[in-house]
Amino acid sequence: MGKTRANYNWKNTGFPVVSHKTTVESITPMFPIVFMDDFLGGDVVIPASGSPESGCKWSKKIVSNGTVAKTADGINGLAAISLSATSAKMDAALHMNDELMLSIAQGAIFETRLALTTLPTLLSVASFGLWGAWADGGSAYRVGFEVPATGIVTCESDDNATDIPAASGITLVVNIYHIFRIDCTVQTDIKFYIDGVRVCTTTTYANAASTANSKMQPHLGLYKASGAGLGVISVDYVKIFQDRS
Amino acid sequence: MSKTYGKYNYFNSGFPMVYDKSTFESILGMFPVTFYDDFIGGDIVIPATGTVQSGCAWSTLIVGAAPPTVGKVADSINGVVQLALTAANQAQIAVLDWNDQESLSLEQGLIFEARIAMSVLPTVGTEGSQAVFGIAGAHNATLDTVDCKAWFKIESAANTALLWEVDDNVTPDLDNDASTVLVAGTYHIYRIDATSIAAVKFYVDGVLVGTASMAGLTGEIGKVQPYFNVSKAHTTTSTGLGTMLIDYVKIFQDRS
Repeated sequence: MGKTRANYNWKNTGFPVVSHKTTVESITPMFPIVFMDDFLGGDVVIPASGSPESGCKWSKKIVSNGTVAKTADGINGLAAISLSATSAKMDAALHMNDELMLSIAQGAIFETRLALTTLPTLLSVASFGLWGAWADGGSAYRVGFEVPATGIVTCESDDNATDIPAASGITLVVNIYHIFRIDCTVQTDIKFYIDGVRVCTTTTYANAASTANSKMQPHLGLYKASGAGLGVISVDYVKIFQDRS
Repeated sequence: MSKTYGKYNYFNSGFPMVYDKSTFESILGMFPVTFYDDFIGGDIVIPATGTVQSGCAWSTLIVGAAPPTVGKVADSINGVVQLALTAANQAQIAVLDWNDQESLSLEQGLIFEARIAMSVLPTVGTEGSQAVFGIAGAHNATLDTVDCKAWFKIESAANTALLWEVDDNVTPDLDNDASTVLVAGTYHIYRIDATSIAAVKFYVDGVLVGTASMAGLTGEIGKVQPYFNVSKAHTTTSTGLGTMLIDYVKIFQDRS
């Protein structure tokens, strides 16, 4: 029996997707613009932000001494993002060197499979989704998931005027992978999913960012304002798809 | 309602395609060989011909002392590459290609598609400037000398008139009118379908605008690369401009 299901008009996006029936992974999104990275290959080093390298879509933003790199011999291809125990403000993020080429005004859908192989401790916060330009403590424009030391997943939309955070009720367990999806098909009603189940259903995520401020890049990172907090994210894949206009 | 159609035998290519029913963009080509680049990502610098970098399929070729430029446009929604001449009075060439690595074959049912706008149409600075985009053999500064080509062309002498050309190194068929009026800054989806080399078809936004034979191709000549070129020659005065914006490139072909 097939492991997949095909929807001709997937979640009313207007585009087809072949998805995994069990995990709900979007296997083949048939959108005009598709970005997918499974982090496979021999190139385990990711260049630093400010010094991107031709052919590598990603860069790593490091403040203090966090780390971002592909995991050697990681099955399926993995990227690891980690903070160290050094007591300091620290940021370790995987992004696209602040090149904002995706748009939540064009129905961007962000999907990632990841696990916290070390849960955030103390002031550490894991965050992943679509961000505008990187900023200390978080981009002014963003839609994403956040996981502080409690392990409870929060879903958030911030258009720099209205910040809408809401707890999902989902508590992450160390080393357990989940598929997180943010669906911006309707910018005024952004939806969040974990393993295919919509979360924060009673919250309306109305993002009113202008077209210019709706430009985004993928962001997966860990941040702490101070202290000795830890945290490690293991990213299996990132998939982003959107309409062309 | 879905925005797409699916065809099991797309344009008699023998392979399925899901495409946008309004724009005719090829969304998912289920061909043995598929190349797709939307130019999204943090790597906005494209390496120069001769100094290619692992992981980047593209290279740039620049001629000119006040140099024309080829690079991704920072923060461009959907990802865009720009090829731009400057007004300097000199010969200039700005090319995006595969460093003359001809890994594709017109004789394997190749289909080339790109969404392109000329944000500055080629302008006359006494001497002409021009733009071409499509598939070609190895670069040559003289466009007519490129041994194999199937491309769209825009010349400054009549810069709103889209042309198309083929050359199988036996019988060139050049400067054909594509019956399309170009407007600066307006994107179109251009497709060149060589499913049959005896009837290579040129499409603009899904509309057939030209057909020609490249039946004289031989194996080596038929090997090609994607090719984008904005250029101007120089004898006395050549201050013309021209800027090409490339939104995406998609190429499909059979494996043999």
